[in-house]
Amino acid sequence: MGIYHFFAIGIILFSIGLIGFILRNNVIIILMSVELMLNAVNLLFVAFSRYLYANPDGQIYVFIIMTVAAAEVAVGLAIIVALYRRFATLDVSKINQLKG
Amino acid sequence: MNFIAPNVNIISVMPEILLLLSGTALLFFRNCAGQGKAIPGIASAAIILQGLMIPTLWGNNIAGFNSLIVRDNFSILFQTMVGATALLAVAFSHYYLKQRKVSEGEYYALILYAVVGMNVMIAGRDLLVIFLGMEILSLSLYVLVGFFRDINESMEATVKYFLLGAFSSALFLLGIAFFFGALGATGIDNVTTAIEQSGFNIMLLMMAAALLCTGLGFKIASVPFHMWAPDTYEGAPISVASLLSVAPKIAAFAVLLRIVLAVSPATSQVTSYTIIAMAVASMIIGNITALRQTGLIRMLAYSGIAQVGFMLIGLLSPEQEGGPALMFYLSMYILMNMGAFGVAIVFSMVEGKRLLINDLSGIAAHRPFLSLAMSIFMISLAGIPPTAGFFAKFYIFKTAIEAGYLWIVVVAVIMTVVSLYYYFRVIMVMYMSEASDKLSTVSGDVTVIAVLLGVLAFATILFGIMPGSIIGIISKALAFM
Repeated sequence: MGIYHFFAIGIILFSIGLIGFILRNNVIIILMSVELMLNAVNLLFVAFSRYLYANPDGQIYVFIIMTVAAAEVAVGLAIIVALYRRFATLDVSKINQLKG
Repeated sequence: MNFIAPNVNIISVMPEILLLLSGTALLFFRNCAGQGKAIPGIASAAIILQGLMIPTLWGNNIAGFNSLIVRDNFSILFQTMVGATALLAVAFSHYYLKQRKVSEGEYYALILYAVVGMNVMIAGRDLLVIFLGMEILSLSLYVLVGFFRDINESMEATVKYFLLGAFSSALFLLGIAFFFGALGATGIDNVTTAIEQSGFNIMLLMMAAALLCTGLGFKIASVPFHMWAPDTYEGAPISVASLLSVAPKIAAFAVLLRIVLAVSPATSQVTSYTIIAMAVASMIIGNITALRQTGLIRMLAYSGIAQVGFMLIGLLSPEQEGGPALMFYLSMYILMNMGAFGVAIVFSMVEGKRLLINDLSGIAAHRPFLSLAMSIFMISLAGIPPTAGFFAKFYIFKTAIEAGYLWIVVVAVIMTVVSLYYYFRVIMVMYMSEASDKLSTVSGDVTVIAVLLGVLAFATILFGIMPGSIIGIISKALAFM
């Protein structure tokens, strides 16, 4: 187990999130995909900090990023609840009143 | 591993503390203060006060939090620009919100928090601090865009903005991770020392630069990351759209300028190719798409995308004249774009629904002053002398030619000619069409906003006649970089 394993799994997780963001239509699943991307970045930070450099900065960044992710989910879920009340659907392909 | 007690130096974040305190106070007292001018008054007082505090730090390079935040002249100038924009947005909001029954406390508190986020972004010297600033800004703006949650368009706009904003944050964060992987630290200045010792992983640094540009590309709404902008501007309250179309771009350009300045010696090709691609695509797609817009706000959104394309040209030669030219363009962009949105707010007060360009037909007969101001802003956005927009474009093009990017300037000039059509259509409609009854009577007291628009229009002409003073200040600010 070395840096390349963790690097690879971080990139794979990020790509899964990216693909999910692009392909899925449900707002909640899109939000989960974004969270997956953020957590993949966390893994990369820890891997870089553990294997490439002997400083713990990267591991501390993870806590900051987790906090930001939590704040983002809080705002995001509030927006999604308000969205559901207006449109009665969470399918982004059906929410298209703005065009041009 | 050695633990260093942080050298906080609270002076360095005093303006932000002030904004946070007054924002939180607005949240608490939103019901106590009598409805009316009190809440926007407090908000503008806070912004003015922090705007007065910032210049006192001029020339001192005050550092805080172990130099994670440095208030050099560069950041002071950008923060002043953000403050001015936010102040205009507060004034516009006051008129926009008057028609609608909303609790204003949260609204203005969120604007103040957004200014805090932008200030942190601009002053941050560490990518993680910049990321935190970006999130403070974005989270406030997500809520502001969807502030009227009983309007379908507003909710749709905020969902689009939120999802793409969160996505761009993730890309930016991946860029930070690669940056950390390449250098073992996230300070922007670390690149310079690493280059001297040639102790960095070039592949990771290149990917980091490209990803950071992508993440910021979403914030400045440049093609191909612009999809959210027209929908969000149109669905958002127009007062929020005015803030959204100018202020985050200023902060993001400050960060882009810093990052490009730092990494371009190491990764010159990748960063300049990324920027060229973004600039050319924004100019072409923004201008061409703006041609067939019927909605005024939507047209302004695509015009904003096109303007970003012009600004990005300044990033191609940041260490020479490109930086000052970009800053000049941004400061003139505040005047003309906020002005155009301000006029749109006055007109939208009548109807309350989507404002079409054709709704303005014949308005000049009833509102000669507003039409004249709008014409000045449109002429300036099109880049015709003697307005500020002309010199903004002129300086940008000059730096690009000096840096040897002649073909980009040719594209830019052609696109400027294309843009004349949609900017002048607004003027044509206002002055030469038959009057429609839809907008002929603008109700309500619009004194303050009219005075502000007059000042903006006057400044647009003034800096078009003598741009030298602003250029002088900007060059002085960048001399330290």
